Amino acid sequence: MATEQLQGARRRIRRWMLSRQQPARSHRLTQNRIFILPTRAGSVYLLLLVLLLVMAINYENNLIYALTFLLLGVFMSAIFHTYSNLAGIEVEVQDAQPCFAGEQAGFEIELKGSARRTREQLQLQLAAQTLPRILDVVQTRQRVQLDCPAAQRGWLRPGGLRLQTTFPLGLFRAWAWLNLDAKVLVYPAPLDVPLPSALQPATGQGQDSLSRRAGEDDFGGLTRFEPGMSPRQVDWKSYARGRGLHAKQFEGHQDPDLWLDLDMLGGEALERRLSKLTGWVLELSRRDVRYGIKLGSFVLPPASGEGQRTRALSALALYGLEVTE
Amino acid sequence: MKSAQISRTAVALQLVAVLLAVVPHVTWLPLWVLALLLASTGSRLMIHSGRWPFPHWLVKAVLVAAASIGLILSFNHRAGPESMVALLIVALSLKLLEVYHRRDAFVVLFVCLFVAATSFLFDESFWMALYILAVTLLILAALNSIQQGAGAGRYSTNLKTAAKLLLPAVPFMLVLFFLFPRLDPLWSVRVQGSGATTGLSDELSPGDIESLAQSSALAFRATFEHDEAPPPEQRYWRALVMSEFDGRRWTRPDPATRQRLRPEKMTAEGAVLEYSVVMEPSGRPWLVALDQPLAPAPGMALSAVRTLQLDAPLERRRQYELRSSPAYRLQPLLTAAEQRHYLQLPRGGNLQSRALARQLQQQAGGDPQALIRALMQRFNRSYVYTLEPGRLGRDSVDAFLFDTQQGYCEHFASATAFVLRSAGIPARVVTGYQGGEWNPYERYIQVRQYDAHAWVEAWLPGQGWRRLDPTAAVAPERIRMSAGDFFDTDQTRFGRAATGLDIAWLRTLSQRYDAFNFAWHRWVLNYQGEQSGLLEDWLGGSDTWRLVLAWLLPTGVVFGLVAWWQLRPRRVRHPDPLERQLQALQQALQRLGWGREPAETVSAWLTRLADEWPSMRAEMQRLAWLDEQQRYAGECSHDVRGEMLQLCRRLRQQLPRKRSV
Repeated sequence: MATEQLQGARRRIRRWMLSRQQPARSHRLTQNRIFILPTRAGSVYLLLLVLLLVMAINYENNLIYALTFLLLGVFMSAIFHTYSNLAGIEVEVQDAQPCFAGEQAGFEIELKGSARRTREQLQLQLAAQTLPRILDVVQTRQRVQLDCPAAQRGWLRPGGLRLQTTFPLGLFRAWAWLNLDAKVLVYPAPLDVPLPSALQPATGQGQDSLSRRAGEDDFGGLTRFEPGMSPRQVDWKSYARGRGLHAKQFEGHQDPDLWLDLDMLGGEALERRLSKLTGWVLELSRRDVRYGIKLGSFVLPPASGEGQRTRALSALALYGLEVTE
Repeated sequence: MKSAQISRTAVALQLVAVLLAVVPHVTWLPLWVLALLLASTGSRLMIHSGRWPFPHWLVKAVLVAAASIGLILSFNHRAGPESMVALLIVALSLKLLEVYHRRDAFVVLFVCLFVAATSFLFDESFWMALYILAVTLLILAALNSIQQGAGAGRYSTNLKTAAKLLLPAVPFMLVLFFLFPRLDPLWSVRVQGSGATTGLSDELSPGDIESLAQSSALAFRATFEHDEAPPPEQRYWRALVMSEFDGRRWTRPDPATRQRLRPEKMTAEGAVLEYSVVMEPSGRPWLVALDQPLAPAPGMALSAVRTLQLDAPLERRRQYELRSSPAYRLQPLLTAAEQRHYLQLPRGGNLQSRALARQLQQQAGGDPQALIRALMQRFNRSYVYTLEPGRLGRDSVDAFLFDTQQGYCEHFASATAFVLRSAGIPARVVTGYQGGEWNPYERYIQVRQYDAHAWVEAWLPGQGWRRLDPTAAVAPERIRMSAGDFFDTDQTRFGRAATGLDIAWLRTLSQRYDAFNFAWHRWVLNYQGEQSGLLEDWLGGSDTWRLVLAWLLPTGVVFGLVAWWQLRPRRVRHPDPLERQLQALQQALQRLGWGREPAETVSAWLTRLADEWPSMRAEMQRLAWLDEQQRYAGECSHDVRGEMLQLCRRLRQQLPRKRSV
């Protein structure tokens, strides 16, 4: 119970510390950010000094007095060493690549120290993280990727980053909470459900009526291949002859537009439906067919390619959530 | 975090720290404790190198049980620091077997620090202090190493970090050491093995000692006001007064008789000596004072016969300040009971001596001083001073006075007191130390056990107790020189060398070393804060606020320096001189408001500036071109770089000092 209270108090302190700062991409650790307190080992060390002092008093032994004071001096100078191990570090954060719910979002963090000073044993921990990342030595600059579990779809903000060190003796713990202005878009977790027949695109062997428009493909000539075109359109034969990459143009016989509609799946829980749609978006993108998405009032016109995939997944990620960005 | 694994470097440092912390205790530790420590260190090494697994819990349980029984058996009857330290060392040995995590390592190293500190209970020498300082450094390095990851860690960096931590702690420690008030012990403790020795015994029995074994161990040291010692003839350090004689032995009266004696009255005549004595532990409850002390120092009592007494045996070195008057009048009147006490002799025995006393009495015609002179002349004529007098028969005074006629101070003192009493002159034997060696470097007298001496006090009507040293009549050099010198010069006569230090430079060296040791004892081991009003002299008072300020100011300065050193901005010094020059130029121009934009190349920036500074256009353009050549066209010949360096310098010289509006 005591530990629960302690954790609650810690959480409150953390929230308060973070609320004192403006979220920013880059932070510099200064004295109003860094906190320092003795660790448990530090308290035991102080207790040891008290015992030594009692021994010195009782045996009237001046050398034990001297040793006690010397060790107290070490305790004091450890404060400065621990503090300066953090002071002056600059922390810069990059947005992470979007990921799916249930995965780890990787935030890239760059630490910059001064050239001459070596920082040792830095622990980095994002608020949501369970295990800290330990850097043995940081010299001028170092990049680390900190993983942050992405539990839900939508924007994920890691919030606070804790930088902590107990170097050099473990008697003191210096730490700083930094309010990081970083975010990552978390797509819904894809659900691996086969495409319903209504959505089977007209490619490959399994052509069916829905996916086909009347008539055979009419070859309409070649155009220069441009990035973003489907590899399916490449005229590989001409490429093999060394004429460069060209795309075959088909006229009037494009695949029919497929529509992914949230309402089509009525009855199931919203998240489950979104997950299913996510799975299908991935599947359709893999097959490189044109598709559009209807999420209530939101309509994404049909298109194909990487851009469409990103747009579709973002729409799914943010559906029904407050649009903050 | 707490469960972090520790590196191999850390384990190695820990083992070394443990072993070195225990080394000072090796002399007295029971052998099995040492064996246990070595065995567990060895197994730890095997575990460390991966050859052995961690021991089973049953093994550990058996070990704990066996060690507990061992401790009880070894220290059953002696509760003291030894048993405490042995317990800690045993615990340390057992803990070594299960250091898995950072927390375990903390426990080991903290106990190690404690064990290292306890070394001072057994040895307080300067060398021990240096050794423990080194061990502390090592323990701090080990603490540092357990903070590092399993992969990292070099012994040298750990030691360097430890030194960086220890260095600023030294002035902090010194200031606190001098200012911290020394408190009285919270509860009484017994210090064993303090090695208390003395050359003085509680009784004097000259006939029973065949040869006097002499110890050069230190008895005490004394410093005098104005750094001036009294002449050797005045250096009589009184310790015990013996007034009971049973025909063979002189002893102090039993406590009941002592209670009945009146405190003797003393009037100082002439100058008073102020001095300070640092007495080594003697294991006896008496202290020495220069003949005659005016008053006891705090914490001690003056007995009826004006000797210094403690409540408990002296087990620790003790410093005290006294004032003594070499010329005095002591107890000019004796009561009849006191006369009887100081004339008391056994009924029979030593008949020849009694006859001698009567004969001397007749010759002197009732003048005690003439009698004493005659006795001294007799000694001076035909008696020999030797440390190997051989045993004496039943009537030891007769045997000495008439047969052997050789002996050392005790024989002469005993015989003199006997003869005086027989002749009706109250007399008593006094033991203590006589002389001492003057150390010219630290300006103090050092008195060793072989300076132990015995003399006589005789009571003369109207004059009181007078000191009478028969040894001075036999061997006056013994009194004028220090005993060490005396025995040195008379090696052949006595067939032995007391110190063995007859080579001059060796003697000087030994004196200097002793001077250093004395300073160590006086200023470090016996420092009491209020000593000689030192704090008052330095601080102009000992109010609390002065002490706090005196502690805060130096501490603030030291840690301010540490903080500045740790946090000072460190400019990167570019390894390339050309880059350095370019940076300097850039900074100079930035001060004038012409700084380089972050996205600007050096050449673009210089070209931009060239339009603004017509006077330097040519140089700037040339520098811009050369910079481009050097950076992007791979042109890095010596000439190009040299020209660029020159251009940079010239430009900087031409720049105006201040920003023009």
